[in-house]
Amino acid sequence: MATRKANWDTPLDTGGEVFALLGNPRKAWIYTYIDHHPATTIQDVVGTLDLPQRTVYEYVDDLEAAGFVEQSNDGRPAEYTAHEIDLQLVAGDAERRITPELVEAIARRMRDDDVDTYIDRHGLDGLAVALDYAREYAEGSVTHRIMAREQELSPLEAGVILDALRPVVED
Amino acid sequence: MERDGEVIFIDSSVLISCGRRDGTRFQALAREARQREAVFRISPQVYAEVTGDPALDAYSPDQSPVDEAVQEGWMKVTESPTYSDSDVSTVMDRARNFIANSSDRSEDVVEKADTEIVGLALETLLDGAGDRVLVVTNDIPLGEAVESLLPNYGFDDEQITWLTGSELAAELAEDFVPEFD
Repeated sequence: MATRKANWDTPLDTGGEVFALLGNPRKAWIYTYIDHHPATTIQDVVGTLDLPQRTVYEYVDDLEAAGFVEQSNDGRPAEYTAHEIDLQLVAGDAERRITPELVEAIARRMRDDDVDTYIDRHGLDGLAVALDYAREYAEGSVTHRIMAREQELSPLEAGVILDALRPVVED
Repeated sequence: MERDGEVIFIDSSVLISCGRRDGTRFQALAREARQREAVFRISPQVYAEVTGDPALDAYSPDQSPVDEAVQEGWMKVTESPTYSDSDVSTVMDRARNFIANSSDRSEDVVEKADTEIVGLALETLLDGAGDRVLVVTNDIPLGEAVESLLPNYGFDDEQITWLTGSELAAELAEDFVPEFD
């Protein structure tokens, strides 16, 4: 497969990789780990995930080809640093921003059962909407009960996801 | 009335955050109650909110830690605030308005019942059942409403405190995914 270095002048080609990222929590985990630990090695990443090393290599290759991460040193072992992802998707009236925060939220389902359950129940769009609320929540401009009413959730579910996404938005 | 005459109210946002995953957060809450020699108060609406929905067993299948806390005696479900008391009712209306403004929403999306903790806190002070009230909530507009509105009833700022869950106990803000901390 040709390794085409993505840049944001080729959103359709890059977009394919973004969707692969959104649909694959392990890849999302790897991207997010690198994003939080610049100049990290494959070995470091493998240590945090129950994945065979060759799979991690493969995923890092994909991320690198898409321009989401790059090798930041010259030697071995290779060290990787992340690039920001910022893509906007508009379909009819719905608008979604695909950002490192959204990718992190998806990655967290690997460890956080509440995020995992929420995505099962409400999908990635539900998660993206919840992330918007989590930002508002951290800023102090919404309560969990308001979110519950506006999104037709129980206050319990709204409260759970707001709590689960707090560390994502409070960086 | 507890030590120093302080009465402590816990809102659902904090209880919900404590009910997640293992019990470490609830244990931290229990420790705080012990150290403060306090019985945390929760309103009937808050109790219903956090113990309610069996359809959401996916989130927490075990016996409600709130019920355990009540059994163990460090948490107590209060009566509803006295809606017929005009001061109590008015402060709840004001809180409702305050929250709607803070969140730039119409009042329709805020119910009077959302503000029961404000009514209960005021009632406690007015009745003399407590000299001081501490309201613990992660809903910032609600906490700000407490701090902003209650002093207007003739109480000092020191008698009224709002804390978030993590200000009450640091464990309540610990990240469940430390790899991304």
